[in-house]
Amino acid sequence: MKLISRKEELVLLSIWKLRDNAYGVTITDQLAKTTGRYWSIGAVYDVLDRLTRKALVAASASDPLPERGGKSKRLYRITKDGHQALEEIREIHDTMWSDLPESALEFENP
Amino acid sequence: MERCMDKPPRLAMWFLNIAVKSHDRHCAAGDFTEIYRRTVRDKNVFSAQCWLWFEILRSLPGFVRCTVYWSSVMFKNYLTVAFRNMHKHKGYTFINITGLAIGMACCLLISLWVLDELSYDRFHSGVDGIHRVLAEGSSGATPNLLGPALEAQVPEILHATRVEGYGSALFSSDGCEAYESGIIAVDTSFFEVFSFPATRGDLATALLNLNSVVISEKIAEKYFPGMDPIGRVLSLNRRHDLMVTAVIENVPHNSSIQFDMLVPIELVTIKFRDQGMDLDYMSWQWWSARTYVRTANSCSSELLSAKIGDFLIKLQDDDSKLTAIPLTQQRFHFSNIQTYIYSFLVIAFFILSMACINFVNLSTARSANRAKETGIRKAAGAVRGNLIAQFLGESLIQSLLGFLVALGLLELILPIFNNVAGMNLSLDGITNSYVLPLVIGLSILTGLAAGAYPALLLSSFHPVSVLADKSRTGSRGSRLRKALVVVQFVLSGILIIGTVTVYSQLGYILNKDIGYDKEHIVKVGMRGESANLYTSLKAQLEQDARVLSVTRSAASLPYWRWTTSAADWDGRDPNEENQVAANMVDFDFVETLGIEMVEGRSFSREFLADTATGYVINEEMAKLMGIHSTALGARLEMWGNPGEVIGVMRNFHFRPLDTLIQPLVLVYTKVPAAAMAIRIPAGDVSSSLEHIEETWKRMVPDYPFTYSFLDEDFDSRYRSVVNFGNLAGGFSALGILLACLGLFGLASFTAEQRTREIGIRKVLGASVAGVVKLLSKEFLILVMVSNVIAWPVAWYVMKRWLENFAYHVDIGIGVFLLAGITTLVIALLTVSYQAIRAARANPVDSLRCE
Repeated sequence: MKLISRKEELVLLSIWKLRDNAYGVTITDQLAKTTGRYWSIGAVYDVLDRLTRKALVAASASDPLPERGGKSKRLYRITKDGHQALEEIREIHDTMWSDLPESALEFENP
Repeated sequence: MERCMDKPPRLAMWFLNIAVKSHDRHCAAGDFTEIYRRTVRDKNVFSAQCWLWFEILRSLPGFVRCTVYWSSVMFKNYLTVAFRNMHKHKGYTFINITGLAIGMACCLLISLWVLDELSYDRFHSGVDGIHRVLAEGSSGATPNLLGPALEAQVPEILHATRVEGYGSALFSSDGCEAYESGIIAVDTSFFEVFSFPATRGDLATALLNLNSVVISEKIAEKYFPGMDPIGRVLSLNRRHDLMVTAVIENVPHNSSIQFDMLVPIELVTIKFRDQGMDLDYMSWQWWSARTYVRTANSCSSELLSAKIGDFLIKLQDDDSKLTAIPLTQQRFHFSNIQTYIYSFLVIAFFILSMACINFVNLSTARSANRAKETGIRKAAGAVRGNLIAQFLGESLIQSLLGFLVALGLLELILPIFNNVAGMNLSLDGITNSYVLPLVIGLSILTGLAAGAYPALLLSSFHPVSVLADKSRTGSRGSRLRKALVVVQFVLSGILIIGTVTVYSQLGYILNKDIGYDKEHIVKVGMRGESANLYTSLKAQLEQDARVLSVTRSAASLPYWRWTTSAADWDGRDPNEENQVAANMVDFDFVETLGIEMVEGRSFSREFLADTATGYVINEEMAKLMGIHSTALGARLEMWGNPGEVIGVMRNFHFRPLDTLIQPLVLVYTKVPAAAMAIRIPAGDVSSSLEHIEETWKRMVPDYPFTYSFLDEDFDSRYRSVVNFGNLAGGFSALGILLACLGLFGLASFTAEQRTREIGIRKVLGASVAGVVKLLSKEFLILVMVSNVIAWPVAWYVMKRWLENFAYHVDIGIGVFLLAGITTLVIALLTVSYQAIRAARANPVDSLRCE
């Protein structure tokens, strides 16, 4: 299976973290908070769309809420495949970091 | 207020709605609303709006890219399907595309023509400020002193110029000598009124000198090839040396004033004097010049008319009211071009609608074949909008193909059309800035108009019913098809009745008794010296039996323009303005032209007084003078010369045949004329001509011999009218052809639909005749209904059209019967071909397939 991208990884992690309250707004907020950058909600939708197609997340609709102008939320949660994909990418990260020789780190500051 | 601020702007939400996929739409809108409200609460409305619009803006490029990609994929599919369909039904496609092509070619042709007509005189700068002044009771001519008087006395008029035809004259330079006829005599202010650009010389001073001439490039090239013509001498009638002071560009074909050379108007007086005529050309009594004026652009013709209306009444105690018309209107004022244009626009519209109707009929009839496709597309997720776009797109493809074919057709037709109609149209006109969008717009409009109904009908099918039960769809819209067939045949009927009426009216005009004998009359141009030799020429010519008689007149038939208000008689109402046509003739005029005398005599050598105080009038004039018993001896005064009527002629036509015959006075004069008329015996025309030419060469060796036949001159005057008839006939035939083409397609479709029914009928014992009757009956009833509708409409329209003519035919019942029978026979032939084919088919074949 293809590895997920960094964006997808971040979005997946946010959803995981948010548990039962993961939808467009909260995910964007979460991302902005942790990364310290501005996230366009459109960009988040795009990633969510891809994740849904890959079946790494599953969506369901909440009840309509008055503060949303009578619209419902589209709530996301991670599927089994989603967890697996996250584990996988984490393993790769760890391996890559742990394998680095001491000398390579010294070149960091020229 | 609070609630209002809470809501995100509607426009932004609308964008969101189209950008986001349908199943996400609801939640996405919710997300946006939530963040928007939060921002409003935490910060303010402004930053919330900024955020919202920023979000929309940055997602726009991606959205557009995505949309374009997917729609192009679908577009490719639509194209494939469209071409596959056209390929599969070659016959129908052929009918559709040819029909549309013919319709569009006609429309294009006619719009090219109309645009050409509308472009007349528009090239003058500030054309809105150019007007032509007309005087009541005269057909175009105004008093010869009017122009300068208007310029001097009416403050609104900045410049005025007279324009007078100079007739034809002999011009010679060192290398070339020839007769020129495109000469007009004008005032110096001509170039202030009109803008004919000069290529050499200064127009402001060009005509100040009496002996100057302005020539066109064409003439410059002819007389001074490869030289600078400025300052060179052109000799006029070998008598006057004129100096070329300026060269102008050749006059464009869309100028209503056509000329090759311009001379100062004073030369007209000199011309008359040269010819020994003692005429006061520059007077209020002589009406022959046309008057054009320039005003400020803001001064409309209505305003000007009001200003100058009683100018003549005040100045000259003349009752003629003056009016002004815009220069751009003058063509329409003096001819019925406008009627032609309207007629052709109507015909073009008819033809195009017939082509559209064919398209609609065939498309809806064949909707059964497309119904399944529609069903599957719908089942696969197409919404109605997609399908409408698809079918409209298909008809657009066909109409654009038709447009291309139309361009090709036009390329073929144009030379023929130009030839027949004597016009100067070219496809280059299409590349003209506003024509191209117009024609492309026209073809798109045609495509949309033709495709709209089929698109709406096909896209409305319910997928389940279409896929499950195919039998019903074919009959959909059949009532509309019937109505449209009726419309087509109503139009055809009107076209037939219209064409026949136009033809019979034209025939009536052309074959009308004109009142004189135009056969066997030779007109010989008289210029310069030859004019003074007339008497001896006449004597020499008449010596031989090959010439019967010779005469001359100041204006020559078939068309006299001159009118005068300087006529007075006993019992004339002094308050009334009477414009009377006048002409100056020599002895034997009435006899040579074969005009019948009602009473009295024409000018006779035996009565000396005839030449001084005798006037010959026509019946109209006698009526105008209020004479009931005998006109002979009645007092009549022309230009202040008292005299008496010596003879009354039967009315004859000396003006266009479709106008009323005017009162006419013939005056005896010895003045030289532009042409002499020679009657020759019927039979050996060439030996008569030989005699005339031989005599001419002997007597006037210096001047070239030119001649024409009166009947040919006459016919050429009416060529455009005949052309109009032929063109109308041709276009009508095209229209009827299109209607038949459509009917043919529809009939073959019906036959195809009912193949099985016919098979069963035949098995059960139906005869071929019975089946043919069954198939044809429906269409024939439609055609009959159409005729009943067409008749009153055509009757009314043609009655109005005929009212344009002073003399016209009446519409008889025969025309209607003819139209009815023609449409019926044509429809029957068209339908029966298919019907007989279907009826003769072996039922085994048609029933086997199931």
